[in-house]
Parts: sequence; structure tokens; C-alpha cells
Amino acid sequence: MQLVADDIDVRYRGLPSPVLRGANFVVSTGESVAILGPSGSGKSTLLSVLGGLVRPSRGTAQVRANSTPPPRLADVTTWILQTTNVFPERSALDNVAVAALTRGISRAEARADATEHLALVGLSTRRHDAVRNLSGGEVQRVVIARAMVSRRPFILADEPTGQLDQSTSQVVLDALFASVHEPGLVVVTHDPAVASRCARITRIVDGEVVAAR
Amino acid sequence: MNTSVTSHRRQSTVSNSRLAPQWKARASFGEGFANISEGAGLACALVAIVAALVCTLCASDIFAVRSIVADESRYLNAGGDILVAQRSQGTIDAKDCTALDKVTGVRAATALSVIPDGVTISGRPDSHQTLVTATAGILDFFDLPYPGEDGVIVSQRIADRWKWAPGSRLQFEAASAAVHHAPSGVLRVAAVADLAKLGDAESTAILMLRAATGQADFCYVRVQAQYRADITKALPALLGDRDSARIQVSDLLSQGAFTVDPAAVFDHRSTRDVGLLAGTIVALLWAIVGWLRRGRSALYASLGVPYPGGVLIRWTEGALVMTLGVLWGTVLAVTIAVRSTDISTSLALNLALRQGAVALAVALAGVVVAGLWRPATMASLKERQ
Repeated sequence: MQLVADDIDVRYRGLPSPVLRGANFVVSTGESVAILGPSGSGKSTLLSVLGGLVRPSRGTAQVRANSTPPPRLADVTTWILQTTNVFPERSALDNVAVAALTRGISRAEARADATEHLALVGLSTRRHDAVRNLSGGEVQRVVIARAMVSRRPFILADEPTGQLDQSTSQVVLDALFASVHEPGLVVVTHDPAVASRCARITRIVDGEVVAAR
Repeated sequence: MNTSVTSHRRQSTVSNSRLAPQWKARASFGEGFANISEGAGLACALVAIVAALVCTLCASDIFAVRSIVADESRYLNAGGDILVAQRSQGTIDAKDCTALDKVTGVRAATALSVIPDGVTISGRPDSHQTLVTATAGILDFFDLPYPGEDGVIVSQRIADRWKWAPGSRLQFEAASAAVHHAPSGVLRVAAVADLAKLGDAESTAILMLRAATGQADFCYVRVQAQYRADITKALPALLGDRDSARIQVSDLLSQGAFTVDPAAVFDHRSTRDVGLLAGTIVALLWAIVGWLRRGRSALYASLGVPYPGGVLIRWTEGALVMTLGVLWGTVLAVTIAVRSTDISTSLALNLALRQGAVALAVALAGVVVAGLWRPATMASLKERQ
């Protein structure tokens, strides 16, 4: 299975020029790709297109799969965003279980699965704590567990360590890259250290995708 | 940790057959409930705001209606529900008048004649008294039992003046030779009543029953408020209106202190639609809350919760807040009104429940509409950061 963006333009209302111009991008399950580029270059926009959150003005973004019809982008992707994108008043367990519920399982099953995945990222003992009481690194590990438990074929990560210090970033990245074996991973980052862990690096400059490695 | 992760890799093999969103409706209900119960501070604040608003507006209506009811009670006690029919020239057939009590909307009808200075009290030549004779329907004007053949009803002022009480014995004499059929023999005060309800002239009168035959000066008709206009229109025909002697119908109180019909005041009171107002305000409040919490909605979408699932979560949250708030506000309004005034619990409850039901219906409609709004996922998530 692949996520494919084919010659896409993305224009936002009120902006004179497109944020993405003729962008092409492909990622397969099991593959990790870093998207690097300066602020405002269109990295997050490309990620949003791959996740089905933004519709391109021109070109197509779709899932290439054996099934007919192919699944929708939103149904095969899950997100790792920065630490604020959690339910702060709810427990780590509940935050992760919500993603498991999208698989149509019962709440009890979802909580059991969430418990297992929190253990995988080293948060077994803090699973009942409200997320607002966790450190930034712990919250990001909750977010990673949440992405894993959804069992989607692709994980889209937007600056997953952007708000973390270096040592915490290492812990989080260890958890993230340990978790992605079957799923494909697309990481938007400014951090070369994050990019270096990916099998492939793509750069975006002024809305145009430049394959780097 | 690495050992566990390796184990997990084997479990999390992606299955193409399970890609479609399988979010269940009950998961939405659970999330909505959890968001409210675990976001206790915000939820409590919202419920309290809704309750305070509904309570204030419902209580304002209860107080307004209490005031109207008190006015209506004074209005009815003063004869506000009485129509007076008389012929421009001549008299009215007493039988036609008494037959009106069969007409829908007529509570009572009595043929009445007033004989000013008709009698004197036996042994007191200067005690001229107004004598009022009326058919039996008069008893329904005052909710009095049949007084018996020797019984008379006296006004409060007369009772005070002559120190009469129910059971007192009295005897009359005709005040002049012009007065025929003056009551003879010893009579008994059967009841003391506020005869002023029948008009100023009757406020110092002595009332006696008469047979429903012959002629009368007036026909007094006590009507139900909702039939008042129809009956006013129909009375002339029912009482034998003719060109040579028209039947004139007027409100007993048309020239008095009570010129406003309490039923009309109730229908047009300014607080009549407070339920609608309360519902609209809390619905707008919820829409604002929904906009402020758009990041949360976007977060659900980014986790793979489909749009209908997200809508159901927002509906559940809104329904919980609105139902709890409106119920609390309604109960509070009734409690405050009953404890601080003499209004009956049933009336306060009736008013508050009606207003509360309208407020809840409008608020829930607002929740439904607001819940349909789909925030731009990525933009909303960015705003959370």
C-alpha cells in the first residue's frame, strides 16, 4: 500500500501564490520518510494532503492499494502532532483508548489494548494519570502510543519532538522508530537528527518537492 | 522495552480489510459523557451558567404571573367576569335571563331588580334600605347555598351597620305605599356577602330570592373569560332584542378601577416567551463553546473518528449540559418562587415546566445545529499548539 501525491498544487484563500506547486510524493508501508524544509515551505501542508485533511487545488492525492475501491486517505493514516493535541484532563489510558475505539472494538478491549501500548512506550505506571500532569516527553509518548494503537498503515508525524529537549527527544524518537515496522512513517521536521533516522529524506523548498536521499 | 516492541510488531500487522472507520455510536456517547464528567470544571461552569439563566428567566415569569393572578383575583372579586344586560326602555323577561345558564361559557345568570329605599327595618322608620330581588342564579355569583324561604343575604356594610350576623332575625316594612310585595313576617340573615360585586348601589343592599317569572330590571351574567366576547355579542338576541327596545350589554366594571382584563394581561405578558429566550441564549452560548473547543473536535477527526461520530460526541456533550442546566434552573426557579412568595407550588411548577421545556427544546435544537459544524481539522489543531 502506498500514499501517493501526484502533481499537486495547494492554494489557500488569501495567499497570492500556492503553498505547494506540482508536488509529487510517494511513501509505502514499512518505509520511513522525513520531510525537511524551512518554515512556511509547505511541509505540514503536504502532510495534511497525505492525511486527507487538505484537498489539493490541482492534482490527486490517494491511496494505492490492491483493494477496490481503494480506502480513503483519512482511513489509512493516523497523526502524531505536538504535545498539545491531547485531551489534557483525561488519563493517558483514555487518550490512547480513543484511538483504539476507531477500530470498532469495545471500550474494555480498547482500554486493554491501550494499556499494552502504553507499556510499550514505558508509561505503564502513569497510565491512570491525567495527561496534564505528565511531562512533555511523557505526553509525546502517549501520542505515539495513540498512533500505534490505531493500527493504521501510515503514521504522519508533524514535528514530533519540536517542543522537547534533546534527551527527551531521544527517548521519544526511540519509542517512535521502534514502533514503526509495518506502518509507513512520514515525519515533518526541522531536526536533522530526526531526519537521519529515516530511510529517505525529502526536501521542500518554496512549495516544490526536492528528493534529497 | 525493545523486547515488548518486537512482540508488538508481530501483533500490529496492518490488515487491509479493517481500514474503513468502524467507530461505533456507543463510543461517541461514551466519549461525550467522559468529556463532560472528566472536564468537571468547565462542565460544571457551563451547567451552572445555563441553570442560572433559566432560573432567572423562569422565576421572572413566575413572579409576573403571580402578580397577574393576584390582580385577577381582585378583578373577579370585584365582579370583573360579570356582564350586565338591560333594555334601553323597559324590562327584561326573567325567564329568558335565567335560561342563559344553559349557554356554553356562562357560569351563572340572574334576573335582578333593585328597589331603592324599598323597605325599612321594622321599628326603625328612618332605616331605609335598598332591596335587591334576584333569581336563584345569584347564589352562583357568590358561591352561596340556598338560603331557605325566610333567608336573606345582606351586604357586609349593612351587617356591620345593624350588627347582624348569619342567624340574626329581622322584619321589614314597606317604606312607602308605592312599594308592593314588601317581605312580610320574620326573616333570617342566611349569609353576609360582598354584594358590592353587583355594583355600587348593591353595596348597601339586602338581597332576597325571587321566582324566575315576570320582569326584571337587569340580567347579570357571569362568564368564563374565553367566551366573554362571544357571549357579549350573543346576549341581545338571547334576551329578545328589538328595535323599539334594544338590549344593551356592558361590563360591570367598565367604568370602574379594573379596566384591564387579567386574561388578556396573562396572554400578553412580557415574560411569556422567556423559555424561548433562555433556550436561544444558551444555544448561542453552546455554539460559542463549540467554536472555542474546535481543536478538540479536530483532534477526534485526526484520530480517525468519522464526521458522524464527532457530531454524535458533540451532541452528547451538549445534551448533557443543556438537560442538566435547564432541569436545575427550572427546579431552582420553582423553589425560589414557592419559598419567597405565596404562589401555589402547582402553578409555579406548571409555569416553570412549560418555560423549561421550551428552553430545553430550543437549546437542544441549538446543540444539534452547532454540532453539525465541521471545523477545519489542521487549522484547528495548529491553533491548539
